Amino acid sequence: MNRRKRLFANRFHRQIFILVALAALLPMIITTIALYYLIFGITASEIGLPEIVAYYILPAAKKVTFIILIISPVVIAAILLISNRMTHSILGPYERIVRELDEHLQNKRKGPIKLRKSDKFSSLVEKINILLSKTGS
Amino acid sequence: MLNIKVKTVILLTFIITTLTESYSSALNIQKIFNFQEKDSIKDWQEKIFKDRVLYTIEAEHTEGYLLAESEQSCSGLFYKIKFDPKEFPMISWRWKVLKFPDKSQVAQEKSGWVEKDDYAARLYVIFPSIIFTNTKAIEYVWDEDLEEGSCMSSPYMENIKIIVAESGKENINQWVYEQRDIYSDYIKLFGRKPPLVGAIAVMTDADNTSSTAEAMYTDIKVGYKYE
Repeated sequence: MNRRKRLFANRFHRQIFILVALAALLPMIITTIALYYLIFGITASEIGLPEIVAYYILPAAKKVTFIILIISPVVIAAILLISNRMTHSILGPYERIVRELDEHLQNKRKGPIKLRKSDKFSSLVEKINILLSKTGS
Repeated sequence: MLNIKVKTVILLTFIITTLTESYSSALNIQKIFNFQEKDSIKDWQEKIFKDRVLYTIEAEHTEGYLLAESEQSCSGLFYKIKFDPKEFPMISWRWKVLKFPDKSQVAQEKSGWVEKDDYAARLYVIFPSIIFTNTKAIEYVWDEDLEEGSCMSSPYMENIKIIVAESGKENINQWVYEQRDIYSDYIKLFGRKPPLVGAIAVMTDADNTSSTAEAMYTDIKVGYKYE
């Protein structure tokens, strides 16, 4: 059967992803507003004469805009990609452990719970497997 | 007896009317700067671009004026004043040029416009914006060579428009009166209605041409209707 690869393993995964996305985006938005309004805007208003503003403030503002518009989306995308992979490696096995334990409880499965090498929770699964072998499940 | 809704509406109407009146009266500022007193420029802020231009209050007979002397320098005097150019579109002033910056040398050596961006006398009307990159300005200049009435963008920024209000040496050493309609000029230059004026400024500069310039300003009048 062709299983479609899901972006999020479950609702918890999606919540963590949104939290990481907000943690990356909100400081950037706040910093941008602070830079433009509190630093550039107020400095420009204090400088007053438009030529002086154009000569001294605009080049700095253009560089900041470049960083915000070009570099920040790349950095944020990288952060989200890494966080998505990390949460996948945590939440994927977690979901499987819960599912397999349910099957054990319903006597639909026998034997130890198996994990992939790269999956987290190996020490936990080891102890659960010892417990399962003691109970004969 | 009036019910609570009617009372609220009356109260809100009163508050809005009062606020609107006080707001428009706050913008209703006609200001005349004739530089009669020695401390006439105490409320003007000095803005330095490249070295200081010497701005002093002087008197000619009984009339005061602002004298600006630039020696390869560029700085301006800036005055914050808020008014609605739609209601009070007129600005007028008198100026006299004593010496133009020498552009002949740079015209031969360099072709860039920034190098020629020196004017014996200029008067700014500045339209600030919350987003500082949207701040706009009109500069009325007296230039030796550019044709009177011509308009162009500043080499520093598209939002700064230059209007040659006076041209040539014909009136050098003479007081010349100028009156402009800021509202019409803004529409002509930017193609839309102007926001509130936030400041005016004067500047004499000769930094780009590495020369000297001298000018006098007086009777700057802003925030009034056509008379």
